[in-house]
Amino acid sequence: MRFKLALRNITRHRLRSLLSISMIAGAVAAVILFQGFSSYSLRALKWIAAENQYGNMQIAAEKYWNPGKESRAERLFLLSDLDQLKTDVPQIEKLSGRLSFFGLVSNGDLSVGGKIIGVDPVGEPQFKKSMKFTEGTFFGDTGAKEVVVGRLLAKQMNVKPGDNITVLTNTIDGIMNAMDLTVAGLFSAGIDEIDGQVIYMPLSITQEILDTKNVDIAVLKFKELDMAEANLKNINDRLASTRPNLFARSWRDLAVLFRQVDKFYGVQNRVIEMILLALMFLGILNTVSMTVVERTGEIGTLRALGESRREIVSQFILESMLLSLIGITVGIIAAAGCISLVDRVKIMTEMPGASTPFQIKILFMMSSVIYASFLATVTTVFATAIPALRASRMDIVEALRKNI
Amino acid sequence: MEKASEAILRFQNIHKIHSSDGVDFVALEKINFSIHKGEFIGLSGKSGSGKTSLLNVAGLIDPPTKGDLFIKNINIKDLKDRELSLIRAQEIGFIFQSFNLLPLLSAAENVEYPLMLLNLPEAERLERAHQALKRVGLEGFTHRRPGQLSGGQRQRVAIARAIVKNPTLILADEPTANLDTKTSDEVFDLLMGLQQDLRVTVMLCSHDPDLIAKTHRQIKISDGHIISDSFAGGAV
Repeated sequence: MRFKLALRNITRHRLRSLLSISMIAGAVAAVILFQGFSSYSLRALKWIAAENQYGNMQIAAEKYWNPGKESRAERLFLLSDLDQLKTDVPQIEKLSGRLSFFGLVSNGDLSVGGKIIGVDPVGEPQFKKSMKFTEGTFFGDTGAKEVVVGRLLAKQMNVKPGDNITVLTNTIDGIMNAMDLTVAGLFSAGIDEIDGQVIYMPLSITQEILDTKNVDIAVLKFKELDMAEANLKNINDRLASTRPNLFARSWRDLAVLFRQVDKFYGVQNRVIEMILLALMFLGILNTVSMTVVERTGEIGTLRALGESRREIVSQFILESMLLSLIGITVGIIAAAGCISLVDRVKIMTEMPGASTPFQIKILFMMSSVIYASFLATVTTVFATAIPALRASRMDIVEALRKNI
Repeated sequence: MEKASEAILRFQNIHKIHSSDGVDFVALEKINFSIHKGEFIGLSGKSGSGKTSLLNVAGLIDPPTKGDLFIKNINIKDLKDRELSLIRAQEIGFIFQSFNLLPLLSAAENVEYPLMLLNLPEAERLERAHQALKRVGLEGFTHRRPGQLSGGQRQRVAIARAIVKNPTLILADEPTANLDTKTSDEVFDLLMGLQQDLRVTVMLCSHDPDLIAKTHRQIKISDGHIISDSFAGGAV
């Protein structure tokens, strides 16, 4: 009976109910969409940071993490020093080295400064897979004297795949060294800073140029990404007893941009949610207050018939919960529709400092659906409870003076 | 003046003062009387004499400002709002001048509503609502909403709603005021017939002296005081 009455009451003023449903649906859809967009962006940044840029974890000398006036050699170590660690921690899937340096890159006519990073394409297959090429391909796995050049640097130097460049730098011992290399491809990392100054080459070639068998950092790939952070303390404890000059850092420690964006989205989403919920709260409060005024005579009659204050409040809350349920359902459907539309329309955007636009994508996450539904329900209940409590405390005789 | 049988409701030095814009208005003063089972009381008096105030106090919807009101020997001063609501739900039936039916519910649902407050099972509620509507001659109108009924039919539904829970006391505030003479007589006769059949206590207030004359006990109020309380033929 109560449910029946609640249903009929919400259809009594269709336009008003529709307005309430729209407010709830709008807020639910907005929360789902904002969370879906930020989650997609964060997931992408996490993937770039943990699978490509930094690896799941990095191990380097203390002097590498906190550089001072020490010599370059003091920051390097032999990758084979970590063989035992790989055996002791079975969750580690791959362990490879990187070695980087700043040098002069010349095409014969023009010389520019660049950062050269030596990577092991066998040890970091994900790195190779994630590389986006505007021209050409990745260098060979076997240590061919090939490089891939950032597309903005390549444009500045006017080089293309097949062209030769010369890299000039000092060895670890300070002796000038140079090597001729062939451009295998031009890549785009999507970030101007990288595309304008970075060259990747095989690790073995980098070691040859710098005349060392050492590496700057060891990049660790775990069977599951979550295992990296779970094993961080364990690995640092083991390093402390075997190689006390080496320290491990997880991808999250290294990915400053990810942490900043994560924090920014967190604050932004909370602020947006608060604004939406405040609007929804005020809207529903206003609607229910109007309903209470209109139904004063009815409330008086129900109280005279023996309905308790609690039952009056419950009836209003039941009606709002029904509105909320419809609003949430509409909101979820609207959010799913928007996500599908955004996917089809392929909206492109550019991040600050990015060299290539990326497609906006929004994730449809069950956790967001539950979170938005919970927020909408709680807000609706609170916004209803205030006028409903006022209604329940009405003077019955005064209320009966108003006609139904 | 009072009957020897057990009092359903006992007014003991009841005062009711209404305050509006800082001005006090005495609606009831030194009211002392009892209502006994099976009585049909007619409450008369001019507008503003205190009839409705007395009915509201009796119906536990307006607490007295001073004095003691006993319902079945329980002083309502000691009761919380929840307990008063329960007594209203179980013991008191209201019939209002403007019918006060819930517009979104059908006649049968309006009659069923008070039974829902008593947490009765649905099947029993439906059966009793149907029987009550049959008693008031509306068995063919169960699915109609109040807006689809005439004034007389609406008041019959209101009477069915009042009697459906077998209350101890029915309070009727000008139940025929919004009806034409013929319908008014029909509704009053129906109420009187039900009162006799069900042995329910009824307190009715009206401006109509002819209706009041038909009741068993007539109480006249003036300026918040009971100025006469007499029994006519047919009194219990």
